[in-house]
Amino acid sequence: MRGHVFALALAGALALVPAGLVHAQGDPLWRSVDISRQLRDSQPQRIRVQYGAGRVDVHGSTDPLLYALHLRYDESRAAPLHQYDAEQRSALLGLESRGQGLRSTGGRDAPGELRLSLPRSVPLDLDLEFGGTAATLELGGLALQSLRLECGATDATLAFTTPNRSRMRELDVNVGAAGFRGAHLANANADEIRVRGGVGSVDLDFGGTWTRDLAVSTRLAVGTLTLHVPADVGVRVDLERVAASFRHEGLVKRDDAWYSENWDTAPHKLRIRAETYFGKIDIQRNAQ
Amino acid sequence: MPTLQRILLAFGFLLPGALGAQSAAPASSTARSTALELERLAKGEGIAGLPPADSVTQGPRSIPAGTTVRGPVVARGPIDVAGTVDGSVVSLAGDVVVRRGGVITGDAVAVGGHILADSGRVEGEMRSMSALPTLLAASTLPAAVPRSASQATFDAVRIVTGVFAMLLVIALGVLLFAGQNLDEVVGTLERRFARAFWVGVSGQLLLLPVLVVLVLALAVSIIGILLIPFAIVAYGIAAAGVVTLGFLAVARLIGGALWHPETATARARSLGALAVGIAIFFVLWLVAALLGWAPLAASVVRAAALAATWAALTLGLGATILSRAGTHRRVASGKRPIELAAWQTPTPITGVIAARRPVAAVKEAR
Repeated sequence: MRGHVFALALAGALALVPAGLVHAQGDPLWRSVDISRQLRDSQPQRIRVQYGAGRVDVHGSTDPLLYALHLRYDESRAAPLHQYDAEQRSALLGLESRGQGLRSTGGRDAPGELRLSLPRSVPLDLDLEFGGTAATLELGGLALQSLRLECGATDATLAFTTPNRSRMRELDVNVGAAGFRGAHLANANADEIRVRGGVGSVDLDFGGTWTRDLAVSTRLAVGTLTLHVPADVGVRVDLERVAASFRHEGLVKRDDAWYSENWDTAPHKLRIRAETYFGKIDIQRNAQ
Repeated sequence: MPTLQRILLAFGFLLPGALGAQSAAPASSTARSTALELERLAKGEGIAGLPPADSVTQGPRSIPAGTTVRGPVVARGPIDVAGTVDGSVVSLAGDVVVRRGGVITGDAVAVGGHILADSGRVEGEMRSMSALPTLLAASTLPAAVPRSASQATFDAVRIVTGVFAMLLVIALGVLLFAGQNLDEVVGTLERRFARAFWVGVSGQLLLLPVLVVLVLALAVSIIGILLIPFAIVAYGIAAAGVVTLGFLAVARLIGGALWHPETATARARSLGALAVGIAIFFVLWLVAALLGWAPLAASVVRAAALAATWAALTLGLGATILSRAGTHRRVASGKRPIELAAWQTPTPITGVIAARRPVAAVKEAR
């Protein structure tokens, strides 16, 4: 008899689990919102973007708007974030997860979407935080003073197809388990670029218009770090690796660092400090 | 008065009232619908100071140039602003157009439409949306509305119940498919209790270093680098399995001490003991969850539950390691395996009395 009671209790528990899962899933309530704010002046602004999961597209625009945000999201899981502090000249945009527990704003393949247009005429401090997203960030032509990009499980592409209009104090990229690609990074007009990664592949292309020397520090725990450097740029590489292979095309070792042959004569210099524990570091010289 | 005349008179009195009621019905329905829409906007979009439903313009609305209107202006139709609106403008069905010289000092909101303000000025935010926010979802904005104590308690109870329901399901699976292993781990716990604890503590401390060594060992060989992600995942799964098996063994040991019917079969006893043991831990955590309204008491009970669970996990881990996940059966249960005793087979040597074979070993060999 007691055995039957336990069997029934277990059957009940088994029945509860899928019921609970169904309840947790819920039906999505897809909704689209367009949010924008007119530009009042061209004073510097700080814009912070938070987004959990879905597709992300950030680009520049000539429209007289401080920001133009398009969101497509599941209303049962997330709520739009759009706060603007006129005194601080700062905006917080994106999507925040509703409720508690393990619910998210959708998977990477969910049809959730964030599209953000930013003005080219306003100096910006841009702060981007993404969770599991497929992000395309075309930030060429903007006037970025600083850029901080933090990604979780993200396939992100950061590109500067046209030069940044301001001198960038810092460009800081922090990726978790992800694939990150930086394109035309010389156009970022930055003094220093920092890239930190957990597990994944990091591909940095230093094409674009070189206006000054550049220092790059990269740290990748496990994965492949590939750096594409134009042939006319002098390269110095300081390596720190545990069990990572190093492919150095045309670099020679002097003292503790690796140098390109044109290091002393090159008009612009790239100093790379690469730190990788397990994986591969690959430096490729491209024709400009 | 003849009957027919009375009827006509009564009809004459009642008819206008009935007609009035008929025309009022759609009007009140529209008012209710508008009121609901305004509530959804106020809660979902955070627009304050929206007017009552009967102040909403039913249809298009225009603010001519040179005029100033005190907002918010709300219309069920497109809104054309050439003058000044001191406040927000909301169209419940249509576009909001701000002409040259037109000014909105608040937000411009369009439901099912667009904001066209290329030549006008909107000092607040411009928002256009495919649909109104859902009232239920809008009312649960996490930032604006903190969870009530009862909601927090309910959530905590739900999480605890869910976790233990899952544990019960896993326990059933272990009992069905790895019952012997569980028996051996329980046996190890009974016989090597103190040692299991210290081995468990050591196991916890070594969990991460062992993973690092494993990864380093794989990294040394070039081919092994490719296996590192798989090895990390496999190690995590194996560790979780070992810890779970150990915890279930402790739960069964405790449950068996409290629930041991003599008439039940071995399997029923094992199942019952496991369920009782899990229930004890469940009750501990459930009490902590139910005390959500009293943070101090909840913290004390939660600390006790945490300590008890850690002790169980440590003991279980140690016993599982000692018994090699219940596969090293003879050693785990303290019995010597047959092959270890069998080498003592007496060898007849002249002048030496043959050693007597141990009785237990002889019985086992048979």
